[in-house]
Amino acid sequence: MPIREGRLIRRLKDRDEQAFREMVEEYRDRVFRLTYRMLGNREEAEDLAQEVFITIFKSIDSFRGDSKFSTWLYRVTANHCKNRIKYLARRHDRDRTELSERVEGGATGGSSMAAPRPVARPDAQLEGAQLEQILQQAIAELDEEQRILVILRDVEDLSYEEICAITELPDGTVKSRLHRARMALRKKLLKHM
Amino acid sequence: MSSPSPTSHHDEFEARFSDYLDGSLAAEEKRALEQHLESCAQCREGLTELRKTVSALSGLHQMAAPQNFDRDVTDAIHRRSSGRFFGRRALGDRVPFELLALLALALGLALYFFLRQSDTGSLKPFDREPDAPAIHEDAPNVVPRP
Repeated sequence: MPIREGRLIRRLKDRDEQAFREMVEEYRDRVFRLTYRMLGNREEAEDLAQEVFITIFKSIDSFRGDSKFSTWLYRVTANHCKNRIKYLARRHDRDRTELSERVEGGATGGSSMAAPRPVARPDAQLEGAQLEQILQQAIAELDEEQRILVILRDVEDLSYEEICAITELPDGTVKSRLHRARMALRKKLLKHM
Repeated sequence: MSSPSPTSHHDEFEARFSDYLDGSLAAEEKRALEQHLESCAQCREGLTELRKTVSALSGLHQMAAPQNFDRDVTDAIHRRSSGRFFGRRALGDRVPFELLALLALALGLALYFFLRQSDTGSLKPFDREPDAPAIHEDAPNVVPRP
């Protein structure tokens, strides 16, 4: 572990507020990017990124330095993301059930459900914000296990070694799942490329 | 033995596309894939599409956390813990109680033995007769004659 990182962790374990601020400043963008790419919603991502840092601070005593601090931070973030995705899916299902019950009961006038709107531009070369939107939507359609691998490897450019340490999966599993995820994205993006 | 169908042949090569793009394919497999690509338009197209997909992913906007993120997260901690999270913790919070108890016992024992060995220690045992005072022949007679 680098000396500077070791010192920061000792100060965090001493509940040093300044150390906490330094840690947030150093890692906030990486954590926020991961939560945003995993959830696809800015507000949810911001809220979850805050939860990640609070968890890190509360459980810093359990960090024994067996891995890099950033690896542990990414692992905590990934676990938070998976839990939030499950929670949001359950909430979405419950909302849909409640809405359909209300519709069947005649309580609403058949308003449109908030389904993701397909981006209409099938032929031209895509650029900028539009490509970003299409990609984000395609990522959101992957299951969360594939999603995390694509983001860590292809968006965040982490090494396979680090991804294995974060996900605690063997190298072969990471590579095969990532390949399947990439192929699925390729298929989804095919009509836009 | 029947030769593999064209589809399974393509699938076999397609399964190596990611490793090929990551540069982690073994030299022999890489050579075999490149040979196949020369003669297979379908796989060439598939690889190009996959390369574009990976390139698009790596080109995604590297967004930053919101401006007030640091303050918000620190405020959230203060709010939730009523200010108890931050602040240097007492020794007892950082060192396990068992270790402190063991340390105290060791110190107590060390102190006990030290005081026992010491000539001036209050724990010196009274098991020896005190030495008789020396009588010097030439000492002046301090007892007054009757």
